[in-house]
Amino acid sequence: VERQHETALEGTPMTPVAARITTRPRTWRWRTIRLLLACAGPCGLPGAAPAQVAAEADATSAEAPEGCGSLADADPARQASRALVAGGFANVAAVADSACLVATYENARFRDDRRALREAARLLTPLLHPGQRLVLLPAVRGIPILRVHLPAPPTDSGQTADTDPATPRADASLEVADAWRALSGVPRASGSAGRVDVVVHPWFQAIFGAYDNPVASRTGVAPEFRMDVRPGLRLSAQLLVTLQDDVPTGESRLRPGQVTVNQVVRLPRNVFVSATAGVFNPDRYGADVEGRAFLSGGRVTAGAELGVTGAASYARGGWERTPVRDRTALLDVGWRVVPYDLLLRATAGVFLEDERGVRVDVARRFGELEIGWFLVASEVGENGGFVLRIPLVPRTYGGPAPLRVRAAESYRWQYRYRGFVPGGARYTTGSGLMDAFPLLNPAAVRQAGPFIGSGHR
Amino acid sequence: MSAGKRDRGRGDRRRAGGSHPAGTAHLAWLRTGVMMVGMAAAPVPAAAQALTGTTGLVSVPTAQMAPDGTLTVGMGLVDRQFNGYTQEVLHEYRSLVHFVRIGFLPFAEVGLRLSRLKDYDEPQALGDRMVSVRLRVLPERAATPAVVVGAHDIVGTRLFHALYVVGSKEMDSIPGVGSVSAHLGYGGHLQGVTARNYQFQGVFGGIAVAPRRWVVLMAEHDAEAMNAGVRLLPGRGVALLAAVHADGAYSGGISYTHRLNR
Repeated sequence: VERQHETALEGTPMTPVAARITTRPRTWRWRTIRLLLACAGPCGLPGAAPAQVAAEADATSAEAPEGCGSLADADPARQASRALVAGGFANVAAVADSACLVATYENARFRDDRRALREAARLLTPLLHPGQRLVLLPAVRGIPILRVHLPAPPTDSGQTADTDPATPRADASLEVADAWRALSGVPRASGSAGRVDVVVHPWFQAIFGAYDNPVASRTGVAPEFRMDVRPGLRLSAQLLVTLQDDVPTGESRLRPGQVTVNQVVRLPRNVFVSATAGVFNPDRYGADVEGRAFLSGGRVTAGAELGVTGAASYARGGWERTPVRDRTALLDVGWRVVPYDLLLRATAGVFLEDERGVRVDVARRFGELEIGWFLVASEVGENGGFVLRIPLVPRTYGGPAPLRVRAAESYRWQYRYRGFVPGGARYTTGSGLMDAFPLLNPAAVRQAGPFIGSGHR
Repeated sequence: MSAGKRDRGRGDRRRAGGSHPAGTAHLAWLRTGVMMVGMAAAPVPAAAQALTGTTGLVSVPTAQMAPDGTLTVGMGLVDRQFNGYTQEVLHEYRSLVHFVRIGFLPFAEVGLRLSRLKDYDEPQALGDRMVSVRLRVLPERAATPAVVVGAHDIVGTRLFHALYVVGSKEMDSIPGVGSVSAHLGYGGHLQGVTARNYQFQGVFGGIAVAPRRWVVLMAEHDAEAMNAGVRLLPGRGVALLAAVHADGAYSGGISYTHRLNR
């Protein structure tokens, strides 16, 4: 172990990926755009600061999380940042002292956030001194999600986290404030602001059960242009391209899909708020606000969603709209059964078409595959069905780049037993809080690796 | 369920049986095969699907469950007598069934089935959709059987509705026979649940013998008639099922089971 740490302290050799990222020539245009965007935001998500300078900020002023010292040791922090950037992570920052190495990252490389967490731990663990703990803060869109403590390597006396009662065990917690403050003044390496991801979603719509055409379907792709501007703020524009269509809707084969501006903020007590305006799927436009609290370490969630929308479809070369006056108001509560990665969720309130009803969902994740069942009881009748969320290939994406094309992480499909009973209809903004932060699921954290212990505190 | 409706279903089965007088010979052959098995001990047969997708023998459900986190897809060609449960017009046709079975939780199994009549000229839309849910209320212990309650075709037309409780006990490695499992169940109906027809009304059960890891011989009584079958497990999650019914009719199916990541 000592030899491993000495090697690490001498400097992590740069992989070809790291070399490419740190030496990639950038055009003046991108630099200008990123500089402007960085200036537009008051903090976080700065333009791509080189990895070499990532940890050279005034770390001494950082407020240390529990159990850490001054976090003013620049050399290991610089190595940690470099390793994470080389691994394809974005918005990387690290601070360190003899007791702790604290690092934050955003997953831009892996389809599965659990795998990203494992990979980050794998990259940084060899850099630890004996007795030094690793504190990881995975973030999404500039918002810290989780704090993961990893145990220190054995000390010279052979004591490990398991044998030393004074050393905290490996665990994960939603309490991120202290560790996040420690990183607050540190410039981010491989910043994501201004980068554009073109995320290609498949889409499929089927209408089952007609005697003359039992499976009427529409199939296509939906490239989505996605850009993070500042912490929590995302611009998104989607294009729906119809490849196959035997449903006579009259909609254009090439038409806008979701076009939204979304801002997510994290409030104290693990409360998240997401506000979205624009065009939603399917065929709605307006504004939506969702608030959600994650309680009991993420095992319990309670949320509220309010929306004011109208119908909108792009047909025959133009928009057809109804006024924005349809109100939706939904309350939900969910409980995660961690050993099974099972989510039980009940939603009640006013759905689209001013329809009052209740929906109950039971969904289980098998790795990245999610299989769920639902029942809806509303003023228009009862219905039920199942929901599939299928991971899409590939598992690993190309490294962060000014413009990157990649496949969507997954495809979600819902089947309704009574296809012609529209009960419990709702729209999706593409920024739902339950889907945006997979690591807020304690079962997912537990699956990320045995090194993390039993999930969130 | 009214007595008349139940009788009509049984009458359909009898009529269907009457058209296959040669079947009794096949059944006798299979019964003899089951009784004469005398081979080395083998592991307990894995819980496998019946013809219609739920875990069971030939057609009756058992208290064995799909292993947690497994997905089974399959199809079967089901003899027309099984459609005698439904409507008189339907028992003239065989069914092609497609099914998915999921071990959703260690104690819960969910099945989806789509049945389409074969050689039926009229439009059928998608066919008959069936949802089944089975819950294990008692796990098997050394001295007591596993107990499962199940409900088939719980929504929609309820052409194949069934509500039952069944117990299963496995006896591993009986010298000279292999592993043996015995199953006994009772099916009824709930007041207030309207179904067009019912399956497994009354006492049903069966026995399965696995003289080798890759073969299971089965005989059962589905509360109306005897069926027998053989299931082959060539490996890699594939299962083949061939069955002969009391009237000599044949059914068969194939399925593939995949273990999902957890």
